[in-house]
Amino acid sequence: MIAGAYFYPLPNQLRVRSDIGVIANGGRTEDFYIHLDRDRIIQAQESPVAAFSERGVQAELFKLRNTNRKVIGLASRMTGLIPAANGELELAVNWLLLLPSRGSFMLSQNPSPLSPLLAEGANIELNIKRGLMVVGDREFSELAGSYVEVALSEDTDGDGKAENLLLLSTQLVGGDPA
Amino acid sequence: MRKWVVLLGLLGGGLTGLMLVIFNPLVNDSLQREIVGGGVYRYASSDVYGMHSTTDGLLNIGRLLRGPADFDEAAIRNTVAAVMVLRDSSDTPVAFATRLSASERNSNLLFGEFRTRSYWNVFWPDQGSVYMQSLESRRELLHDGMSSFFLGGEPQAGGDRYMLTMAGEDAGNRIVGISGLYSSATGHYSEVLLNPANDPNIQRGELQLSIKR
Repeated sequence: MIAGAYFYPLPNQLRVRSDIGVIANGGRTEDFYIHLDRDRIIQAQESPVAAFSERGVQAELFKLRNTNRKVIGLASRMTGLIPAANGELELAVNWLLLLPSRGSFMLSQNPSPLSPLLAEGANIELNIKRGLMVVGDREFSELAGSYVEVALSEDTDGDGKAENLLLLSTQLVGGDPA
Repeated sequence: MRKWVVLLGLLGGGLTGLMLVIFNPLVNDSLQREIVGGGVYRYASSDVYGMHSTTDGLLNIGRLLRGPADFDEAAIRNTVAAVMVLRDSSDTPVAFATRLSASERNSNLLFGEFRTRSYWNVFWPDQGSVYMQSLESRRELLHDGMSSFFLGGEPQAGGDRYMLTMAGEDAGNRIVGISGLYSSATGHYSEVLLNPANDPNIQRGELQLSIKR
């Protein structure tokens, strides 16, 4: 009975291989993808959050994929207005990423656009935005860094039809051990 | 005949073991205290997706009894994603939030562990946002759900309030400021699940924040 209870298969988390690249001068890169149609779990307009729509508010939930386009986690994207230093309101974007077997971390976006440098071979449709990783836990608890959010359009299935994607490309560095 | 006796013995033994483990008075999770004051918000959301949060879901047999959950992919099968509007004591919507949860790795039935880890992003429009995280215990929910089932009812916890958030350093309970007026916020929080048996399609709860800006 005791052995049965010990080995009873409660819900657990599958550890998926991490696609992490190493940066020459320290740190690591990891890219995450979202297929905008297939991976959207809920969009703000469908939810009660629409009550806030006149104030620039959006909340979306997505499945999150690795570079092999395998689903490895969940992501939420929230936008809303916040007071800037000059007292005016500016748009802020928060990404909360959950990789169940590895931990979670949060990205916060500076709304200023960046010139399109990334995603060679892909058709960059809109803008690239950049921001910072602000907090994380477990595997990500000792990391800090930045990320860019890139809107892409790619033929992912080879059927000649382009699909809209979001790329979240992170560059994270470990802190000094205390 | 002999095979049947052995099989029934094993099943009976397993069931007895399960009950002993679940109702073991020596196993007790340390839960967060309720926080009273200004930072108390209520939510009632039908935008909850993922793993079955019912008794059978917690025991990993929800798929057998209720069919597949929302997420088929192996890596997110035991996760929950939700969007909710947070309302103050006068029922006015004041903030909105997303919550991503995953069952805790290596939870163990023998030690009465039924745990999830939750991560929140709370956004107050025109003000700012915070990140929150904590370890949660679903043991009381499971205990009450099993009790109800063995008394001939639905396998659903019938209480009014269930504190989910665990106390202690290992629970990692914290609030971290992200932006706007909350950019340097710190603190901790508690989450209480309200009337889970009332309507399985709507998740109701209370979020209690102790926050310094």
